Formats: sequence, structure tokens, C-alpha cells
Amino acid sequence: MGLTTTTKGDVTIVEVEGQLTVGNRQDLKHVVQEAADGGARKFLLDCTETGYIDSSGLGALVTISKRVREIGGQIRLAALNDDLRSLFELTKLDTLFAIYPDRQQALDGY
Amino acid sequence: MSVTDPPRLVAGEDPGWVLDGELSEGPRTTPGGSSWLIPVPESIGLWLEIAEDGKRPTATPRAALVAPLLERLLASEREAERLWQELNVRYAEIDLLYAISEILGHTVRLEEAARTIIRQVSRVVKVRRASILVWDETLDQLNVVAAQGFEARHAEPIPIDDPTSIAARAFREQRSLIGRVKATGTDADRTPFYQGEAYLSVPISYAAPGTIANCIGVINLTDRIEEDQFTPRDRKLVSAVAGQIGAAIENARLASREREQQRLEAELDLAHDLQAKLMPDPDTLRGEAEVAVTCLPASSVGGDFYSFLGLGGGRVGVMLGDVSSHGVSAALVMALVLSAAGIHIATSVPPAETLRRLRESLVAKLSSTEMYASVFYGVLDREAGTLSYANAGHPYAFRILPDGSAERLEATAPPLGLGGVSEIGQGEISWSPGTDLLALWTDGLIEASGEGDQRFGEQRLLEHLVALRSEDADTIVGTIMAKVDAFSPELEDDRTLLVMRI
Repeated sequence: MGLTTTTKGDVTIVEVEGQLTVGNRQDLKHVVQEAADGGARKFLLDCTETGYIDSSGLGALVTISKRVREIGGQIRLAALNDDLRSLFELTKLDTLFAIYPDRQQALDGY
Repeated sequence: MSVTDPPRLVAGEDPGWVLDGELSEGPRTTPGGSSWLIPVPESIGLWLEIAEDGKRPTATPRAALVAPLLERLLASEREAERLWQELNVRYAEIDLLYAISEILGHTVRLEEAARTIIRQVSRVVKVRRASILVWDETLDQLNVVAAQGFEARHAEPIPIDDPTSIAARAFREQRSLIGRVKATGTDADRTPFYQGEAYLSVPISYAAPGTIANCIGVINLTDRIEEDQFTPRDRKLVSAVAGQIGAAIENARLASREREQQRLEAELDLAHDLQAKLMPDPDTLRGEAEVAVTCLPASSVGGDFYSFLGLGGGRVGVMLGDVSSHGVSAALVMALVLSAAGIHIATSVPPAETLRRLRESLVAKLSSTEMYASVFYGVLDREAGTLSYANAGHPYAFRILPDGSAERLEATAPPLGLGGVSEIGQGEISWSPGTDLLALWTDGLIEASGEGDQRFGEQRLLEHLVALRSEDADTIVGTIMAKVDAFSPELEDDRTLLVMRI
């Protein structure tokens, strides 16, 4: 998995490339935590290049989202592929995240 | 004048002879009379008694002529004695090395061999305190496995990076250290092995065939019995011992790791059996429902679970779920989920309330371990012809109808542990007893990957279920598990499939 972090205005955009699994979920947590420590509160996870998220990866996303909310921030997911979109729907996790079809729509009005 | 002939050899303290020229000679008075003694040259405490009247002979008696010969004789005797002692020491050293190879040849346990060896080394090198320390690579410290002069089990392990420990330094630098240390203050408190001032610390190395030697322990010696000083000879001898026991210690270390591994495997087997016993036998539903289930954990223990219970009045409760992550931690949470589930299912409240209570029982454990569980729970009611269910984020629950269609029983809440205390919804559908088939499984079944990283997939599984829908439950489960196994023989994740008819 590759993580690329950029910012647009006050939004921290993290691109997740490849798979988000038990092996690398800590990296994602670390990146978000570091940005939050630096004052970031608005996060956007761009999943355009994310192929697969396993159960640990899902757990990590929920933990990250919880931590960000606790410090008064929020997190949006964008551009989930069909399989991931359906995984979020089938597990009802779509009710826990703000999910947008693409990066631009996620940024609009953030 | 009376001359003693032959002269007698007298030994004893210098009685204070009268000095005469270069020789200290003079009369000796004993209760039996007096005699005249002359010292044997180059010897201390030895005299020749050459006259019996206590007077110095005027002429040199013949006896006195033998004195230089006697001196040479004594010198050779002394040399012989020294060589004999030297030989004894060598013999003890060779005997030590021989004894060690004997010990290593006959004992299996490292501690036992090390104890005997350290006792022998202490005897030959003449020390009161000695120890063998072995490297624990997990904790990166030296553990005392055998000691002479103190209790090995009372000795604290020494971290490899301890700057005050000589043993740690000998280990780090992989060379023997010989010297003196002031055994006072904190140093002595920190390293109780060094109470004498002189120390000898020799690393134990082992090189597997074709590899560079690795340091695997240290032999420590201190508190020398005679002179408080170690010699290069001692170092050479102890190094020879270290060289001899290196391979044995490495073997023992590997054997001990192997034993630990076997113990762990035995415990996991036990945990596997216990875990399997936590889940009910299909026979418990005999007469109430037809059920078949197979649960294959990827490791000895897994995170998949199921439960079912006859609730009376033609109703049967059935639960299946998956604790995220694998291995022992997931298995412990799974055991917790099952025991809580057992209680809540038995109270026979509506499915959504059952899952809400289950979540309440687990929330603390799940949030502290960052795990979560997807759980489906349904109640099949033969009299009412219904299935009511609640589904916490478990996508793999289907009703297979007689016409060959498959209907997903969708999630009514996020997985337990992920959704906080969000509302848990409940669904209810009509159910045709005898023909409708309930199929529940976990993601490990459909994500099993075969050639070319292709997954077994939900579609393929549903096709098999539809094709087999009229078979008995055992045939359906047995056939499908065999197909998944043929597709992907390697278990990467727990695989569970349960089918039920009422």
C-alpha cells in the first residue's frame, strides 16, 4: 500500500493505493494521527486506487474516524470501487461514513 | 672430636646458628646432646649434621663434601616435584575437557550439563564463584543457567547492552576479558557474580556449518581460591571449555525452542478442541430442524463461530458470525461472544434485542482490542412460517428458495464493535418449512483464492447452493466444502458454512 498525503485548503487528502489490510493499517493510522497532531481536522480518504480492504482495514477506518471525531474533526471517503462500495453497504458501514462518488464531490462544501 | 658418619639430614627452623664466614652454621643442642650442623647450600631449612659432639670439626669431614651433591640432588627433586605438580594440573585440565565431552555426551538437559561443567571448571581453575550465561535472543539478555558459589535461579538476567556488566561486554565484543574489578558500591550490587577482584569472562560461540560463529553465551569466573588473579593459561583452558560446550548449548537452545513450540502447539490443539466444544452439535436440534455445519479455522483456533438452539414451540434460533482478525486473540473474543450469545439466545427475546444485549456484553472487550464481530442471528418459526432476524454487518446470509432464487438477508446494523450504540434493526420474511433453505457462511469461504489469485466468490457459491438445494443438509455442506477445498487447498482464513431447514 502506498499513502500520499496532500492538502487542499484546510482539507488533508490521503490517497490510499493498493490494499488496506492487517499488514499496513497502522501506517494509515499514523499518517492521519500525525496530520491531526499538526492541527488538521478535515480529512478526505481518496480510494480511487484502493483495490481491497480486509476486515482489519475496515476496523482501522472506523478507529481513525472515531479518533478524528473525538478531536472535533471529520472524515470523508471518496471514490470507492464497486466491490468496496458494496462491502460498505452490505455491512452497513456506509451508515458510519460520509461516502462520496469522487474526490471533487467530497471536497465540494467541505 | 666425633664425626657423624654418615651425616644425617636435619630439617627445621633456623635455630640461630653462629655466623661463620659465608655459611651460617653452628651447634644444635637437643635433650640428647649437642651436634654441629652445616646448611645445605641453596636450600632453606635443611642442614647436615656432621659432628656429634657439638663442636665444629677442625678438618672438613668427608660428610661435608657431599653437601654440593646433596644440593644438586635436592634441586632435581624440587624440579621433579614442580614437574609433577605441573603434570597434575595439565592432567586435571585434560581430564576436565574429557569429562566435559563425557557430560555432553550423556545429558540432554542444558541446565544439568551446565551445572556439572561449571562445577568441574571451578575445581580445576580454583574459583569459588562461576557461572554459565546463555543468550536469550527474544529478550536480548544473558540468563544464568548454571552457577557455582551462588544460586543460578536468584541471579538477575543481564541485558546485553548493560554498560556495567563484564559478561555483557565479553558477549558484545566477542572476546574473553581478563582483569580486575573493584567489587564495591553499585557495581557489586549490579553484578553479583563479581565479588572477588580478579575476573575471567569468556564468550561461548557456535558456528553452524558454513556460517560465521555467533556468540551464544558467556562463562564467568571470579573469587579465585589461591592468588586473586587469572593467568593466560586459565583463559586458554576456559576458552577450550567454551569451544567445547558451544555446540551443546546451541543444540540445547534449539531443543528448548522446539519443546516450547510443541508445548504451544499442544495448547493450541487443546484450545481448538475447547473451541469446537463451545459450538453445538447438530444432533441437539434433532426433530426440530435439519442442520449441517462445517467450521474450519485457518490456524488451530479461529474467529468464526456459530450457535443454534431449540427455543420451543417450533422455533429455532441460529447465529453465525466472524470476529475480525485471526489467531488466539480472535479466538478469545470468539469464545466470549459465544458464551454471551448462549445466554442471550436462551432468553428468547426478539433477534434485534438479542444482538443489542450481545453488543452490550462485548462492547468493552471489542473496543479495547480494536476488534469487531459481524453477526447474523435469526429465529425460524415453523408454526408462524416466518424468519425474523437481525444482522450486524454480516453480508453472507441467504435464503435459497425452491424455485432456485437466492435472497440476501441484509444487514440491519453495522458490525458489533464498529457502530457504537446505533440502532439495530430487525427484518422478517415468510418461510416455507421443509423447502426454504437458510445458508450462512463467512468471508473466508468465498474469498478462498485459487489459481491466478481468482476467488471462489459469492456467485459461484450461490450457484452450488441453488443446484444442491433439494439435497439433505449434510450433502450440501459436504459437497460445497469439498469444492472450495479443491479450488483452494490452502486455508488462508477461517471457512464456515451452515445450512438449515425447519
